[in-house]
Amino acid sequence: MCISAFRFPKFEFSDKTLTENSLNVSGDEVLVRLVDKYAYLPVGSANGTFLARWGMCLKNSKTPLRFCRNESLESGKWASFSPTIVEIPVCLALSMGVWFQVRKAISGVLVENFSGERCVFVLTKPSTHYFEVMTGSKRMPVLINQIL
Amino acid sequence: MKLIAHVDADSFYVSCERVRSPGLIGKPVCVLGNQGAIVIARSYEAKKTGVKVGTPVWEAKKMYPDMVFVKRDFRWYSVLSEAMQDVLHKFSDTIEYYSVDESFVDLGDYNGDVHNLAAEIQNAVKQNTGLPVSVGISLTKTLAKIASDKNKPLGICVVLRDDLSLFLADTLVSEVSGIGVNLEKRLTPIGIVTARDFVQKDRIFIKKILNKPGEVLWYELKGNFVLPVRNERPRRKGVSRGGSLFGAKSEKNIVFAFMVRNIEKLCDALLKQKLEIKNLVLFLVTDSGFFLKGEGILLDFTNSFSVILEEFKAIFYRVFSGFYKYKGLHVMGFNIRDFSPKQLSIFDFSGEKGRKMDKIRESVLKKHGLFAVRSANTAYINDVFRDDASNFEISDMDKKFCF
Repeated sequence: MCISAFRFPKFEFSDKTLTENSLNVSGDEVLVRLVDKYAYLPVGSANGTFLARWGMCLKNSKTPLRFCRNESLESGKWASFSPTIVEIPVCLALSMGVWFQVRKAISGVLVENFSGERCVFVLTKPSTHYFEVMTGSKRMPVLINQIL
Repeated sequence: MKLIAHVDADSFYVSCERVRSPGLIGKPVCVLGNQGAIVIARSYEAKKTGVKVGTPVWEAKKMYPDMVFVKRDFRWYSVLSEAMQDVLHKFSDTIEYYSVDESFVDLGDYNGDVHNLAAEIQNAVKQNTGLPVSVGISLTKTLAKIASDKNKPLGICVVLRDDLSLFLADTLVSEVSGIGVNLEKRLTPIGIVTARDFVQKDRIFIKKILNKPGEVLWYELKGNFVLPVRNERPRRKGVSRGGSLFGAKSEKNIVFAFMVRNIEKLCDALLKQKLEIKNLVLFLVTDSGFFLKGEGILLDFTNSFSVILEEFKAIFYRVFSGFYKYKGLHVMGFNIRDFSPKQLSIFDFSGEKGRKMDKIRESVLKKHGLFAVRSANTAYINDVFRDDASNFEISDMDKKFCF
C-alpha cells in the first residue's frame, strides 16, 4: 500500500462529527489509518468539505479496497461506479514509515457504494524518482499542484 | 561607537516552509534535498531527535517515526531571503548579503540602546517576513557572527567593549568563523582552547601559524574593526552550474540534455551578472563517484549560449563514455571578466543565425524567466523541467556572497 495513514486539520469539522465517525483526533489534526475499521477522509466540494468513507468492501471481500490506480480509471474500469474526481485536503501522508507534507490536497475518486454511502478512493500513480527514493514505495498518491 | 549586526535566520529552510504551511509549526520537520534521500535542514524539534544534516531519510524515520519530511524549494526560500534583505535595508544602507539566511548590517556610529535595536531588527524581520531570526551586535563582523549564534533560536546577544573579555573566555575557538575542525586540532595542543586564549597569544605568533587570515581574526576578536561590511559581492573566479541527474543515467541523449540544461543556467547567470567567460570545464560524475573531466577554451570571451554550447558539445563528445552510468554533472566557466560589447571578428563562431537566436532567447528569458524557451536538446528530460522546485537551485541566487 503506498499510503498507510493521513492527517488532516480538524477545524473544518465539529467535535460531534468527529466523534460520530470514531475519528482519532490528536491535537489540531485528525489521524486516519489504513488499519482503522472506520476510516473517513475529507472531501472538498463546492459546498464545503465533507467526510466520506475511505474505500469500500467489494463483494466476497472483508478487506476494503482503498486505492484507485490512475491507469485503471483511465482505461474505464471504474466507469460502472460513475466515479467523480475529487480533492482530498489532507496535510500529511504516511508512506512506508515516512510522513510527507501535502501542500494542497491529493486526488481521489468518489463513488457511491451498494447502500448509497459516499466512498472515496485515493488515486495513485507510479512513483516519481524522488518519491521512490524518499519512501521506497513504487506507487504514490496523485498530488494536486505539488510535484514530489 | 561603530557597530555591526549579524542577522541569522533560525532553521531557515524549515522556517520558510512554516511561513506558508503553519501546520508544520511545533512539529519535528526535516527538509530533504533534491533526490529525496538526504536531510539538508532540520527544525529545532528535529535536532533534538538526533537527526543530523546528511542523515538519510530511511535512518531519520527510524530515529523519530513522527518526523515530517518536506521537499526543498529554493525558489520560495529565495523570495523570503530577499524579503529579509528589504527589511534590513530599513536599518542601514550597507548590508552584506552573506548567505541565503544571514546578513551583516553596518549600523555605523550608534549611541542608542543596542539591545533595543537588536530586538527592533528581530521584530521587524518577524513581522514582515514571518521568519524568526537571531541577532548579534558587536564591534566587528567576526564578533557579531559569534554573538548571533549564542542564544539561538530567537536569540539576542550584544557584545560591547566592556563585555569582550568575558565573552571571549566563554567562546571556544571552534565557534569562531574561519577556524575549522582542522585548525582547532592544531591550536588545542598549543594551549588555544577559547577565543580569549587566541587573542592573548602574540599577533606575530598567530600570523606565523595561521598566516594573514589568522592575523585578521586576531584583530577582529580583539574588537578592532578590519573586515568591512561589503554591499557588493566580489567577483567570483568561476561560475558553475550542475548537480544530480536524478538517478544513474547512461543514455547519451539524456546526459547530454542535462548538460544543456545546466549550460542554459550558466549562461543565464552570466547574462544577469553581466559577465563573460573564456575557459570551460565539464565534469561528469559516475555512479561510483568517479569524475570524468574535460576542458576547452573559447576563441574569445563570451556569454553567448550558442557559442558556449558548441564548445561544451565538443568537450562532451571527448569525455562521454557509454561504459559508465552517470549520477551528476557540472559545467563551469573560468577566466571571467565584465561583459563588453565587441566588434565581430572573422573568427566569430556563432554566425548570424546564432546571434539572432541568442538575441531572441535573451529577450524571452528576460520577460518570462529561465526555461521559458529552451534548447530542443533538453526534450529528453521534459519531466525534470515540469518540476519547478528543481529548476531553481541555491546557486541561482546570485546576489548573496556565499552558499
